[in-house]
Amino acid sequence: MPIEPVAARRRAADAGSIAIREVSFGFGAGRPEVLDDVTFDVASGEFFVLLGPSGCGKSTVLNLIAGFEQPTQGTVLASGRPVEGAARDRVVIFQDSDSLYGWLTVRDNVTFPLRVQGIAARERDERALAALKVVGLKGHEDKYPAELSGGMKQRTQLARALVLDAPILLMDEPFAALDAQTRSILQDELVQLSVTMRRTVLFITHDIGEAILLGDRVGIMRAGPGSSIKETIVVDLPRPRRRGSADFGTLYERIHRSISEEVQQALRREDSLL
Amino acid sequence: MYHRDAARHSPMTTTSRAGISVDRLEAAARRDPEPVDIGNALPPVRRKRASRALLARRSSWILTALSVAAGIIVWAIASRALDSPLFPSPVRIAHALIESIGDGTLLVDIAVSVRRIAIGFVLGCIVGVPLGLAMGLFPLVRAFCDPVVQFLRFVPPIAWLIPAIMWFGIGETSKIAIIFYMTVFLVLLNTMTGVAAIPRNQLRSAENYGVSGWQLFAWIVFPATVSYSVAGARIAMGNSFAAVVGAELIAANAGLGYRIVDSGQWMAMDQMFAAMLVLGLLGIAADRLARLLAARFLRHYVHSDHAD
Amino acid sequence: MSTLTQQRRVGAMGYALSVAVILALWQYGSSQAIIPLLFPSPLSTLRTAMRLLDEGRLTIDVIASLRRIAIGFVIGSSAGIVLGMLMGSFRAVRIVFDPYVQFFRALPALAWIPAAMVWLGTGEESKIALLVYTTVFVVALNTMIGVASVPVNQIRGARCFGCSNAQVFLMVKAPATVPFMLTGMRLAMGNCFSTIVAAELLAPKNGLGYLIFSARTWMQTEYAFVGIVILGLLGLIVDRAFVFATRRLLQRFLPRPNR
Repeated sequence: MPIEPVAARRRAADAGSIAIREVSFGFGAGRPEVLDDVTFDVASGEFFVLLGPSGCGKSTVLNLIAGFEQPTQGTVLASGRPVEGAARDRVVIFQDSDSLYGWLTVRDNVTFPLRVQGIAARERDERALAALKVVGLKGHEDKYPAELSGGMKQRTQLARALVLDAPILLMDEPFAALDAQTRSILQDELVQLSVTMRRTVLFITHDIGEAILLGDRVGIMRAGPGSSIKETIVVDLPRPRRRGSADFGTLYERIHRSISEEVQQALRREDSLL
Repeated sequence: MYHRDAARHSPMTTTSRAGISVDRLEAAARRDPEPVDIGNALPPVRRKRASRALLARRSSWILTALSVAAGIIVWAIASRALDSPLFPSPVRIAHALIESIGDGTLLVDIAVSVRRIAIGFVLGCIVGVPLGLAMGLFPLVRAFCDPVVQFLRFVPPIAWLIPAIMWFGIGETSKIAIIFYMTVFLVLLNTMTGVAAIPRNQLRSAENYGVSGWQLFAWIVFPATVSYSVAGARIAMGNSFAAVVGAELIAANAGLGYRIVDSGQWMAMDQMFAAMLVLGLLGIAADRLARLLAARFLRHYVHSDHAD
Repeated sequence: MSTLTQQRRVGAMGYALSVAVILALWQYGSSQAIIPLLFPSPLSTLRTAMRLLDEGRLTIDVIASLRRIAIGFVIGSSAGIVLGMLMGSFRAVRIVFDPYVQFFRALPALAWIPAAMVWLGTGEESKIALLVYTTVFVVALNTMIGVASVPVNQIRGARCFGCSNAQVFLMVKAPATVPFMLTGMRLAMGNCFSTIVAAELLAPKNGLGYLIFSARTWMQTEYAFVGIVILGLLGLIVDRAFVFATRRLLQRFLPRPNR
């Protein structure tokens, strides 16, 4: 068999994949390590949810994949290549919508990444409007972020990420600051989107229900400091998933128990330090 | 200049004249990139590794020292090139400084200026805080005084110097009066803002627990406004230096401002710059001292969103 | 009549009432003054103002002062913004310039007046130079803080989108810093009024400071009061105009309370 098709197929399989191998991260001598020997993979097109108690370093993992920080040990690969800094193939959606630019309209915020690339105005507008339509913000293009609700701001971030066609989406607790109703609506919409658009998504949350609703696989992290992946659970419930179903409940219980163990351990560790 | 409507208007709530420093900026920079989810047991995290941070601090000291040295050297070269008595070299300025220390004139000048500031400032705070509280607590009084206050805000204190001189003579009183007026104004204004800015829920929970009258004032209203009063006082302190210098430039026979203008009349530029150097350093010292005192004694009262 | 209009009407009446009462108090106070010469009444102040206006004297003084402030402020603000942006973005620049900015902020512009007069004479140049000095450091400092206050996620997002350093600087940091620049400029404007009065008191030729100064020379306290009142009004007008203009033109740069 000729080598090329295999390599091409592997490259295609790699595109949009994430690999974290034995990664440790800390802030230097005298400070406890944030992450200690974290290892997991995300396949191309997979929706992977990183779940864990507060303070366990979930955001740090995301920052490492995004390229905002460098690991002190281990390797971080995106699309098969080592991560060396922020890049267009891994777009981050932040929890705080302060990453939107207040002086630009929704449309200008969404076309911003395209402007940076020097893409012509007409194409920019077309792509932006298409993305805004997908996230349900058609008609709001000329508003400013200050005029938008929390949910609309997060949709704008999503549109901005989609317009780049990036294979990997990194979402850092994007719905945590929203009210419960908006959160629920956006969760459903995200599920729809991820099914149709087949991007790789790394989604961070501390909400177990959200994890089960959205994820193909859930990675449970240990409590910090010096956190690592405790276990990975495949969510093989058929879509669309219902929060009330029996399977949902069973899985919820299982994950909840796993995390509670961690939290208990962490509390015991703190007590023993006092 | 003023702290009015701070919470409503600007992102910068207070910036005193000699206020913000490299430390604050670095603290701000440090705060930003830290990941949010490090356990609460850990202290705020630095961005660089500890060893690198130490190196960065040392190197920033070295760079600062180099920068100042470079500035002095540039000055020296410029004065040599211009070769005019109007542009003294750093050496001559240092000479003049040492002379003025030696024959005691510097100490006298500093003492005179500082005394004027101190008296005016302290009196101003003593009068300004209770007045501000009183005015803040009675919205009718506030509404009544508002037009005048909004107008007087924009009259620079130095403009009152001539009337003050005509009323109080050239002596100490006129200068202290200016500082007093300005301090009262700023402290009053800021305290009033503080009263208006007490979180409504604090007042409601006090009502809930049956706290009222004097207790309400002493336990809730006063502590809540302390940080605002302090902010106003710090701005007033900063402006006091300018005010006292201005007053001494125009009508005085002692003090740092007088020394400056007197040197100018004799074209003794080296003496003038020596006095200006002392003035600047004094201003920085006063601000640092104020910040230290506030941090030490008022730490829990002073909120983080005001200038440190 | 809606309650809002009613409220506004009551508010305006209250305002007018308060002004009237204060003027009345002033009138009363001045009539009780031991030496009426020293404490003019509002009426005599107004009369003097009208006289000066007629003579054209007042217009000359006001325009002279405003002109100097305008020129000094514009130059100082521009320089301050550039300096502040550079200091905020490059650690090396900040460390190099910081000792000077610190020191010159603590050294009031007034202290430079005699030096400015010796070097640049008693004309326009010295006064404008002083105003530039007054403005530059305040604006630079506030701008610098503004750059540090840009939300880190805005910068990170930009890097995600492939922005180069220059693009981050121009397309993210600069617009995000605008509110801080404006705050600095507002503070600087207040200081400019202070500086120009002092400068004109010391090197009088014309201007509002000179007007106040001449009160003592001619033993006409009215002159000082006219000057003070005009200063207050001017300051008020300029400040309001500043706020109005920035709200109108730069609304989208200003932070607004979240919904």
